[in-house]
Amino acid sequence: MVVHDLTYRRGVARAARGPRWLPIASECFSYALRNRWMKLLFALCWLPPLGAVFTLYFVRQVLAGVGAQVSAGMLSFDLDKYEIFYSSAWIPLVLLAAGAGAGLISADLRAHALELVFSRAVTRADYLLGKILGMVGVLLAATALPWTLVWLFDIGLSESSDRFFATWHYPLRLIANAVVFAVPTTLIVLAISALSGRGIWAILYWIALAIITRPVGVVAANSLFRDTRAGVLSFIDTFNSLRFAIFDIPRNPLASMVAPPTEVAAWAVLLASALALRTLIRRTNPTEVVA
Amino acid sequence: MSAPTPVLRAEGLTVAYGDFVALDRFDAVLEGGTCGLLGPNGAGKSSLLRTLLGLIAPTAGKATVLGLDVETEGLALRRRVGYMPERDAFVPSASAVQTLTYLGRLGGLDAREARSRAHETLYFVGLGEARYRSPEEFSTGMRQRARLAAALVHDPELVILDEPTNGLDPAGRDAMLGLVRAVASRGVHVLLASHLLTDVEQVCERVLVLDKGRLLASGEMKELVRADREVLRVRLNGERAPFEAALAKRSAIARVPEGRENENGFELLVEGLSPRELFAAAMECGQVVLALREERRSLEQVFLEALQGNAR
Repeated sequence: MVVHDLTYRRGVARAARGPRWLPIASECFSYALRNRWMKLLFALCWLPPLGAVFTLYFVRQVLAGVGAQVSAGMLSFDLDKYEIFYSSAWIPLVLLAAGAGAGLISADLRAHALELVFSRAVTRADYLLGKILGMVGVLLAATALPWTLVWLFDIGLSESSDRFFATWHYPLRLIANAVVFAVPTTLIVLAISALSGRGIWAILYWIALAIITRPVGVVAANSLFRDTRAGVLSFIDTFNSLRFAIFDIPRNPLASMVAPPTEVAAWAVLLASALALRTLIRRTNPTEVVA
Repeated sequence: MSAPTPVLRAEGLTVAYGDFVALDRFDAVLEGGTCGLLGPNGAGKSSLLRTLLGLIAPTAGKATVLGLDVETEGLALRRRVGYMPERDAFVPSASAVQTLTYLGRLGGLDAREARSRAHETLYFVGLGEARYRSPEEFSTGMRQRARLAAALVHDPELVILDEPTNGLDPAGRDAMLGLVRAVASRGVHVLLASHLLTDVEQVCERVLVLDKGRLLASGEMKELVRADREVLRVRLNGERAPFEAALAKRSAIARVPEGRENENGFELLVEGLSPRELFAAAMECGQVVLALREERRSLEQVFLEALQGNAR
């Protein structure tokens, strides 16, 4: 039954402006927080920063307030402390990346959504840029944002401006670390998604890559090759290596045994990202997915 | 006053994948309205549609859609063209209205406008009450209508419909064709690709027949299926043999159309006789002419003749 006259707004779409990838990115954001489980995962990623805030407040306000003896090391919340809390967010971050990204392309391919997308004024570059920026946005909201807020809380609690001048570079390092994690992770998760027939397989492949490669890296670096360069086989330790470099802090004992040298880790991440991007480009060819 | 821009103009349009030529020197000019694209599987319809959407570059020749070059102005073109794919396609984990809002935004509408148009378009195709459900839960007919809505949401000037009645029951087909006519009546040009000749015959003003990448026939529907004054379709009561004998005396050729004989009489296609002579022949053998009309070529005949001509 025809109810509405669809002719009265002719021309609106032709006059529209704005980046073409933006609707795709915002759709990714909605997809990443699509149900309460995903929201819970997202909240879990905020727990370590909240723990850091609580620690800061407890040490600075409560212990100092009651006149307890607090060492200078405890009072200063430096990048080595950030590192401890940051590393505890690893598992929820891996799971968030799985939930947010594993279905992003596989579900589109299975539902033939690309046929609808590419029949609009959207190019493959817009589509991929939208997906990548959307998921990077989700991961940054779970990493860069809370850790920058922790730093602001630290500055807010400080009684003098010395703390600001001593730590002004922290947010830059925190954001750089988050970007170094989020961009390659996004590319790899999306590439796995594009190669998998179903989202659930993409989740399993990604979790296997992110978590199960750790014992592989440990064994390779310590038993098989007796060379920390082999630690590049461990996804976690490769990123840990980069984080130590970005935070400019000494490696902890475990990292000294497994984490590959920074240059090796950086090349490995670049290579993996390039391969992932190539896969994404090949799997989303508009001439193959439409009609 | 300058002539209106044709909806489609193709000159020597050729699309090849390696050695395989999918579309071979396709020439056509469509001024607008509703046009059917007919052809068997492998005829080159999909390649033509992909080329018209600006998704694949022609190997040779050129084409414009709504005055825009398909090779260099694909994005601008797709803002003005709606496409309804043949197979099921939807946005995962999204309701019908969310899907259409998203597609409207991809079509160039801002968020508020896209949301408003999504609701209106779903009402237009009769899915207003189901708009908060996922298209994954829809019946086949509802999915087809949702896909039509997706093609219309960004207010296109031309919609390309690929097999819009696939898998529909007769009532669903009638409803879908009614919607296509309603879309056309609102000034939206329609290019309907189908293998169902009756669909094209019911809706389209013009037809293009493709086979093996070549355009075999094209023209106005009225012209193609025009009345053939040389052939009369006559229905009489009584026995067929005496009437055939009376026709033979007059040197007329009679053919029996398929499935047209029963206890109430018979039907014949008669060539080389005027209506007056035909009535005389009936009177001669004491039979009554129950119906008489000029025979029309069906689109099926046009289509089959075009294909047979190409095969030769």
